[in-house]
Amino acid sequence: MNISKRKLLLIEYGKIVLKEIEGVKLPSTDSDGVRMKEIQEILGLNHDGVMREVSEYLGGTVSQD
Amino acid sequence: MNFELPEQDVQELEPLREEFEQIGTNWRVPLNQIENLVAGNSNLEEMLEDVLDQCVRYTKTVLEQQETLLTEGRGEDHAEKDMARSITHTATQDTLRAFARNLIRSGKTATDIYPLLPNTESRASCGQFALRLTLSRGVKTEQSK
Repeated sequence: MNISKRKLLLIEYGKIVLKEIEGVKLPSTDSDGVRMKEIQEILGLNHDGVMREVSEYLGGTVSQD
Repeated sequence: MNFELPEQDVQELEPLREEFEQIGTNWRVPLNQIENLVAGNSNLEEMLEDVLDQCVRYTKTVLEQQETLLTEGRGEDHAEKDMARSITHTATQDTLRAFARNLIRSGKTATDIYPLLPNTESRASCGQFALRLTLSRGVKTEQSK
């Protein structure tokens, strides 16, 4: 998988998580939850691992600001 | 063939395992410790709510800006999203600075605050903290499944 594709998956995952934080949806009970699982499988990581990668990736973009 | 490590080796490796686990989890912000700092002070509790909301807003702008950059490149749309992100970044730093200032006014010391909050004079530190704080809240999803 190329880097851009991986980053887009991390962004997609982050957006789903944000929806939950904002109380819009509960990922574990709808299609977002299924998509989260799919992304975890594609990336070969569990939820915590994906979140860590999202954090590292986005954190890296801030230092360029 | 027996692949199990002798008990003595397991004990020697235990500190290393703990170290690796810490490396894997140290991106998280200990929100419960920050909540303890403000507990019992309604003004600070409200300010913490503002901090949490502002950090979510900032994280959202970073995600949108990065998505546009990856899908459309550095065009007009990206410039617009980047501007929104930058403005939100400034507002986030201001919110964190006000929160830290009010913690100090309430009697908390720098020793209480700065292991938990970023250097509020550093724009990059505030941005990274905001992202980590928001994403740390998202980790709870796993526990609730």
